[in-house]
This record gives sequence, C-alpha cells and structure tokens, in this order.
Amino acid sequence: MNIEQKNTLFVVSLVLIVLVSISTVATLLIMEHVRKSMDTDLNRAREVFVEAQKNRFDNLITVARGVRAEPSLIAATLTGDITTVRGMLDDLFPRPGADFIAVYLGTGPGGVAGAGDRPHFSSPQILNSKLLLTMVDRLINGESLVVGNALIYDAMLQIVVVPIENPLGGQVGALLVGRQFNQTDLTAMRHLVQSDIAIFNNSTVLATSIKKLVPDLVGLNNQTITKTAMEFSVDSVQYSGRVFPILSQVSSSHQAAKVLIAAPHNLYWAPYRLLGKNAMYFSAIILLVAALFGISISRRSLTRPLKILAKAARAIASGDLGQRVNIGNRDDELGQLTDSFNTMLSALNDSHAALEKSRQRFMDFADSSSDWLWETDNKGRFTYVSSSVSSTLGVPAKDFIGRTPREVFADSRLGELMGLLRPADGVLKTFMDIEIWLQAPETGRHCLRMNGVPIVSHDKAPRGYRGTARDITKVKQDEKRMVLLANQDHLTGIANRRRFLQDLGHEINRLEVCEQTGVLILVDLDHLKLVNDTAGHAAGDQIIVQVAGLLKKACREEDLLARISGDEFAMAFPNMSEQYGIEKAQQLLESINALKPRLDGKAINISASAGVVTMPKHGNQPVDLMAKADAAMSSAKKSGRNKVILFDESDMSRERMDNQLTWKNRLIEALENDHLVLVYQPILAIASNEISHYEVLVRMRGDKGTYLPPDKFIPTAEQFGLIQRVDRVVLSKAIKSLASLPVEQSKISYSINLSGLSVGDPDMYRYIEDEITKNNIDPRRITFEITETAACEQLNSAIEFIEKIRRLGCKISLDDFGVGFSSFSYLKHLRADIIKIDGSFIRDIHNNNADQLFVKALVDVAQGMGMATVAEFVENQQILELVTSLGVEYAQGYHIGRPNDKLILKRNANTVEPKEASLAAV
Amino acid sequence: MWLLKNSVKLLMPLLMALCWVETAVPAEIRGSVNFIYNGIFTHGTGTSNQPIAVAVLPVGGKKKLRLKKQVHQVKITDNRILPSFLTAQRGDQIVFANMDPVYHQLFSLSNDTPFEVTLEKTETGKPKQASLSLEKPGTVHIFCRIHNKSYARVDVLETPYQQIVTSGQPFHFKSLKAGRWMLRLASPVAETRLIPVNAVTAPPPLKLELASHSGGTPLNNLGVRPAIERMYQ
Repeated sequence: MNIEQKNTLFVVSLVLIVLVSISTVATLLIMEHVRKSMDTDLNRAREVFVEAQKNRFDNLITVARGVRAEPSLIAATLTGDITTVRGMLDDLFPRPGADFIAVYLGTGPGGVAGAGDRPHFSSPQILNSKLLLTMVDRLINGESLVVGNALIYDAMLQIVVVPIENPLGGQVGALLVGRQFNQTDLTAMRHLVQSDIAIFNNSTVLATSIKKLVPDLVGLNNQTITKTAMEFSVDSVQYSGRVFPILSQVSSSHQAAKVLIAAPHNLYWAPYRLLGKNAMYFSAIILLVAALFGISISRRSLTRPLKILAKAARAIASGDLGQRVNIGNRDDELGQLTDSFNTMLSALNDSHAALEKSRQRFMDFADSSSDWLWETDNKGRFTYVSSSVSSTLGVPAKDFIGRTPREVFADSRLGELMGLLRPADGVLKTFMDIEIWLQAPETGRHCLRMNGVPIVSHDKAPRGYRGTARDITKVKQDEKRMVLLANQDHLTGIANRRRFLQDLGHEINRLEVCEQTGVLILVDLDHLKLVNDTAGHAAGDQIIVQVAGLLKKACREEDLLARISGDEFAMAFPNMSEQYGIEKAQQLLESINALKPRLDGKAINISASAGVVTMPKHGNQPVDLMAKADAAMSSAKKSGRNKVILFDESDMSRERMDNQLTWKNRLIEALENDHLVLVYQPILAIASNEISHYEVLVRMRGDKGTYLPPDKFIPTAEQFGLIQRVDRVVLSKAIKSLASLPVEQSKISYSINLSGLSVGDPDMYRYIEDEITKNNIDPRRITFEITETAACEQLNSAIEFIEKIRRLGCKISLDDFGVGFSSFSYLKHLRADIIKIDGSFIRDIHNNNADQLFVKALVDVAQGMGMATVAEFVENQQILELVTSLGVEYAQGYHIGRPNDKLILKRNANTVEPKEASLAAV
Repeated sequence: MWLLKNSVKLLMPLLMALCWVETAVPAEIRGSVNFIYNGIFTHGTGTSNQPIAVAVLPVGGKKKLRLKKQVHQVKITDNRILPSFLTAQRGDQIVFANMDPVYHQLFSLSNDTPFEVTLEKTETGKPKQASLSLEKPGTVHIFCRIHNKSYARVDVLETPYQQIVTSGQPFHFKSLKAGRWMLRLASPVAETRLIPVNAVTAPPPLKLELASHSGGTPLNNLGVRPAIERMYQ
C-alpha cells in the first residue's frame, strides 16, 4: 500500500469516524428526541384528547340544553306526568347529537322515561341503574350540571345531566343526555390527536384505531397508569403509549373505561429513516469525495512531490547528480524538504566534485608517486594496487588483483611479508618500514619499503591490509654508495682522509697485536697550485687522478691508500720494514716523476715529496702518525722537494709537532681572549641587485694587527676538537651583530657556517635556540650553512638537525654543493632552503661548458624543489652575467664584495660597521 | 257547654250546605293555597312566588255557566311574555302586543289550540299586536320560536270564576250558588289539583295545599370543563 492509498484510507477513515461519531451522536440525539417527541406528542395527544372530550361534552351539554329548551319537553315535563313525558320523548328522539335521552321526574320507579338508539338504553334497568341515578342525584343535590361517563354494556357513553327548568322559575326535572363514543368518533379523534387511540375496559376493546389490537390487553391492563410512556407491540408494529382512566364522574374513583393513546414508532422513525437513508447516500458521497479529495490532496501535496523526490533520488543513486527537484513554490514541509534536498544535492554535487577531485588527486598522486598504494584482503590477496607499480616493478597493476605477493613474485622470498599479511594468530598488526627484497619478472631485484595498516570492519573483523610501498632500491644503492663515498675521495675514487684514519687505526692495532711493523708514507705533490693557477683546476685534478692511479697500482691488496687533502696522499703498508718503506717511497716518487702528464699537448713534469713514519714505532695514534709523517713530508719539501724523508724524532718531528701545538694554543688563546673576529661577505640578490644577506666568516686576530685566515686554524680546530667552540663563538658574535643592527636594517640576514661536528649535535641546537631567544632575533634572518659533505657523512642526524633548525625558523644552506656526494637525491632528503654552488663550478664557468651544464642542471633541480641557489666565487662581471643567465638567484664573490668587518650595503660601495667589530677588508 | 260549642262547630257547615242546596242562596268559597314542594330537587326549594290560578268549576259540567268574553292583553317585553300565566274563559281573546324592537314568533303546540303568529318588531313605539281566540278549553303553552325563555301558559276554562293568587294569598269567590263546586288549583310549577268544595254562605276559609315539583337552585358553580378534565386524569 503506497502513501497515497494510506493517506486516502486515512482520510476516508477519518471521515468515516467523524460520520460514525456524528451518526452515533445524531442517533442518540434522535432517539432522545424521538423519545421526547413521543412523550411530548403523547402528552399533547392526551391533552388534545381531553380537550376533545371537553368539546364533546360541550356539544353534549349544548344538545342537552337544546333538548331541555324544547317546548314540548318543557310542556311535557310541566305536566309532571311521566307517561306524557315518555310520549314526548318518543316524538323527540332521535335527536342529533344525542344517542340517549332520559327525563327524570323522580328517582324512583316510574319517575323516569327514556329513549335511545339502542333499546336497552331506555330499559328500566339502565334508567334506574346506580350509575345514572348517581349522576341524577348529584344534580338533584344541587349541582347545576353533571357530566359523566358510563359504560353500558359495550357502549361507552358520555353523559350530561341538566335540570329541566320551568320557564316561569324553578326546576322541574332532570334531563340526561348521552352520546356514545363509538368507532367513528374514535377515528375522527385519531385525526385530531394524531395518535392512535384505544378505548377499552378490562379485556374489551370498545373502540380502537389500532388494527389487530388484541383483546388480550394484559400488558395494558396491568400497566400502571403512570405519566411515563410504555412500549408494546401490535402486529409487529412498535408503539409507545400511555394509558389513563376515564372516570365515571368527577371525584369518583370508578373507572368507566381506559384510554390508550399510542404513538407508532414507525411514524417517528420514518423521517429519520429517510434522513438516515439520505444521510447514508450523502455519507457515501462524502466518503467518495473525501477519498477523491484525499487522493487529490495526497497526490498533489505529497505523493507527486515524493515521487519526484524518489525519482530524483533514484537518478542520484544511479549517479545522475544533475538532478534538481522542482515541485513548485511551496513553503510547507515538502517545500522545505525539497529545498533541503536541492541543498543536499548541491552539497552532494560539491562533495561529489570534491570527492572526484580528491579521487583524481589520489589517483594522480597514486599514479605519479614513486610510492605505490596497495590493499589486500584477509587472505593476503591484492584487491587494489596503484598503477604506478607497473612503472616501478614492471608488472601491470591488474596482474596483482586477486593474487598474493608470493604468487605475483614467485621467485622471491616473501615469507616475512606473507607472515604479516596472513598472521598465524589471525591478529593483524600495523607494520612500518619493513623492507622486502623481491625479484620482479621484468625489472629484476627490488627492495620495497612497505607500510601497512589493518583493515577492520565495523564489527572489528579483520579484512586485510592497505598501505604504501616504496621502491627503495635506489636508496639502498645510494646508501651503499654513500657509505662508499663517505669513505672515498670523490675525485680519485680512493679512500679519503676519514676512511684512511679509521683504517689506519685498525691496522695499527693489528700490528701491535701481531707485533709487526708497518710504514706510513705521506706524499705531497710539488707545486700543484702552480698547475692549478696556470692550467686550471681541471688540469690539477687530472694530475691528481693520474697520481692516484699510479699509487693505487703500487699498493698491495692489504695496503691502505687515501687522498687526505688537495695534493696529499697517504699510504700505509703493513708488514713492511722501515727500510723497505723508504725504498717504497722512493719508488713512488720516481714513478710520479715518470708520469709526465700531458696538458694541452705538452708534457709537464711533476714531482712529489714524501714523509715516512714507521708504525707503531713512531706512534700508535693515527693522528700522531699522520702529523709526524706530515712533519717528515714538510721537511722533505723544505729540503728541496722531490725527496723522501724518514721521520726523525729528534729534530723535524719536534718542530712539526710544535707547530701544530702552537696553533692549538693560539686558537685556545684566541677563544679565551676573544681574538676571533667576524667578517661579512655580501651576497647579491641578482634579481633586485640588492644586498641584504651576508656570509659570516671568521678571522683570528694575529700579532701586529694581522688577521689570520681560517685555513690556518680551522684544521687545527678540527684536529684538536675545538671546532665546535669556534662555531659557538662565531654564532654568538654573529647573532649579537645582527641584533645590533639599526632598525632600518632589520631585513639584513646572515649566513653562519656550521662544522660537520656541530651538525647533529643536540647541544649545539639548544645553544642556537638560546642565543636566538636571548637576543630576540627573528630566526628567519639566520641561515646556517652546512657543507654537503658534512651533511651526507651523517645523513640521518643531519636530516633531523635540519628539520629542527627549520622548525625553529632558520634557513639551511647546503655549502659547497657539487663537490661532495654530488647526488641530487640528497636534496630530497636534506630539505635545504638554499644551495650554494661550490666555487669550483663557478670560478671558471665562463670557460667551462661542463660547469655551465652542471650549474644549469643544479639550478633547475633546485628551483624545482623550491630552493634558492647561490653562486660562490663570482669574481668578475662575466661570471656574474653568466650565472645570472643560468638562473642563479644570488651571487657571492670578490666581484660582489670582499669579506669585510663592515657590512657592504652596495656592490663595492657603502659599508656599515657593526658595533661588535671593526675589521678591514681581508 | 263544651259539647254544645263543638256540636255547633261541626254541624254548622253541614247546615249551611243544606241551606245552599236547598235554598240557592248566594254562597261563597274562600281560602288560601300554599305550595307544598313535591319535586325531586332537594336544595333551594323554598316557597314559590309563582302564580296560582284558582278557579271554581261546576261539578260534572252539568251546569253551564254564562261566560262573558274578554280580551286579555299580553305583552311581550324584554323577550318575556307577561303575564306568563293566565287563565281565560273559553271564547276569550288574547291580544299579544310586541313591545320589543325584535321579532317574536309565538306558537303553541297544544292540540286544542294550535297557533303560530309572528309579531313584527316595534320601531315607532306603537306595539305590534296579534290576537288569538281561545275557543277550546284546555291548557295552551305558548312559546316563542326565537326566544327560548319566552313562555306563557294560558288555562282556558269554562268558568268565569277565576282568580290568580300567590302562595298563601287568599282567594274568595262570591255570589256562587250554594252547593258543590269543583275548586281548581293550577300553577305552572305544580300539577293541577281539583278539589270538590261546597259553596256556602260565609264559609270558613279553606286551607289548601298545592304540590309543586318546580324548584331548587344549584349549589355550586363548578365549571364544566374543569370537571370534565378531572374525569380524565
């Protein structure tokens, strides 16, 4: 049953209930009304009946008086002769209006004469009956007129007794006149009283208007004469009636007869039956109208709008969101519902659009991301895999669906992964960063880093997993390479100083344990700076590479080789005697001499100086041994170069060692006496041609007002663990300098160098935070420069440190980028704000196409990642124009401005002197 | 002495009667008549003031009395016939004079003297008259067809000795031939009584009674309609 039918049924039911209620009430009211009407009518009928009897008596009295006035009667009566009177009566009767006339001259036998339409009326028994004589006696005894009723056999008579007056005075007799109340009279009376009438006495019905009124009137006879109606039935017709007596005389209890006045129910109910019948028809019409009205109203006001809404809802459910419901201008609930529906639809459209956008975004992310998204059921079978998987693993996404990882990659060992996806205990747990190696059919071996979260249903039942997977094969390779690079010289491919010291320590320990001897040889190329200056760094690098290759060939498998600085190589030869070591060194120098690399078609002669120490004879600490070897090598250079000098503890060693210790002491003294001063080298914003940023550099105040460059004391600081103190001093001074700048220079910012040891140091971070807070400096005005090498050597801690510094508000600049690990992938991990391109790519860029390509690529990558680029070593206008054309955003170098203890506000122009220091250009 | 006196009293009438019969000397009859109510009514039946016609008739009708015709004037005024009771001699004439400005239609149903006469209404003060000759002895009841209360009774007698008295009022007939006569007492409210009497000279007055059956007055004025209503309670 639909709403329309329900509403119609409701309306019809409502109307029916109303009609039934009205009918019930009306019926009750009608019943009461009928009862009252019948009572009223019966009472009125009785009153009319009595009134009619009065009129009948009036008529009878008139008749009696007429008879009495008859001269013959008067004359006969005056004779006093009853015989004469009887004769007169015979002539007088019949008399209209009288059925019985009697003249009483006396109340004894012979004193009366009568005449009537029935013989027995004039019989002596009747004339002398007690009933009539009683009435006559009442007249005789003084009443002027006597009326009464008499039942004479089966005739009901109304009697009037009047005196016969002597015209000359007095009364001479009594005249009794009777009139029978017969069926005709009753019929006439029936019309008058408008009710049925019956005259009866005991079991005799004298006259009645009720057909078949049985003589057996037990019910009526026994009916107490009351003023309330009683009900009875005659011939299946229901009556309400009242019975009252007809007394013989006034003040007499004798009943001559009884009168029944009855009202047939049919008479009263007939109009109501007709009314009911019409009401039934009318009700049926009303119900029909109500039904039609209900249908119309329901259809118009409810069903049609609901159907429209339902149709729209179905259309929406089928995906058609272009629906808009219009049910007309209505302000009722359906109108509000429609408005809400349309509003909801608009919101749904917006939501759907947003969802579609979000889905598309998700798909774009999923498809474009190097990570791929996956989802499995509780059996470990893929239910969704983002399409990017195909570009990663070479397997179409559709090939994953319905298959487990083990089925997709049959050649892989995926026990761990399958154990996670289908745990034995059935408890799904979140897993993070698990690394899975698998063998892809087409693309080979891959390492995936997978994250997964359980999917649970509303009833907490496990449904599977969904998560992400990242192909970290490259990362793994990079890590491997990074480890390699961290210990390798990027130019020559041999170990660097760090790795060499590390391996040397191990080797010394082994030699000590094995009580063996080894040789450490330090080789320094002679005059390489001259080559660099004349033939360019590339030429110098080429020579270094060739020398490294030469030295490599000279090493055994167990020997150690490293490039420990620009033109210095260190070599360790375990299980080698001192003497053999010297010879070995000599051979190496000879090999270098014989190398004769060609530059621009010309062979050049190169030489080297070597220092030799024996281990563990000359020490068991790598740094000490390196210092001693360096002292020996320096001694060789001083003695004319191209020589091999064995470390001699008694002379050169002391000098050399003392030199290093001197620098250590000078540095400590400088730290304690505040002899470290800052200089500021301007950095030009190329686009605006403005200078608002400066790199803070440190100088040591020397004797006689000289200032020592950092390469004089920084290595010592790093070697003796003082570099972090230097960093802190520089940091503190720089921040104070920044804080001391006038308000109009509040946009000036500094770049401060941090050493590799400070990067990742939690104490250093707290120190930075405290200094910034203490001096109330906007952290955005400070940029920390971290060398690429320092960051990559301890990548994880560097990443964390960088993140914290960035959260603090400061910026990060990767210094000397390009000479370190040279991998763009690090940019992704390090999240730097600025990339400072190493000067080796800038210094000769106007002559070197490779440098231009590198710088261009680097600038593109940096811009793509939202990083700014700074070119170092911009030493002339040509370089500046070139880096500008390559998209470099900032420039630094002597062409822009030399380091100065004052801030250079414009290129080669004004300077501002910070309050904390005043230092001439260095 | 007492005996003597009583004998005289007892014998005196007898002697006088003998003397009238024998000698035919003028004799007379006198006396009075009182109504005695003999009707059926029991209340209000006091002495009636109705007229009583006293007449002396010859016994057996043998003696024809010489009658001298007379004209009796009867007026009809205020719808009443006055006098309403009178006696007349056979042969007398009654002249009815209508004094009312309305019509009267008098009639009589008497077998001996039936008549009907219409009296024009009097408009100028001069009464309209009609006459009626009473040729036969008997009682004539005169009614008006228009007015029920108009009634008169005329007793036509074969004697000139007629007197109208009221109850208790003496009557006296003189110059009668001594001897037996029939004394007739009549009244509209009583049965006519014939009493044989002797006319003697200086007779003692007769004390006569006449039974009247007319009388009585109603006691109550109970309305008829309420009375009827009470019968149907």
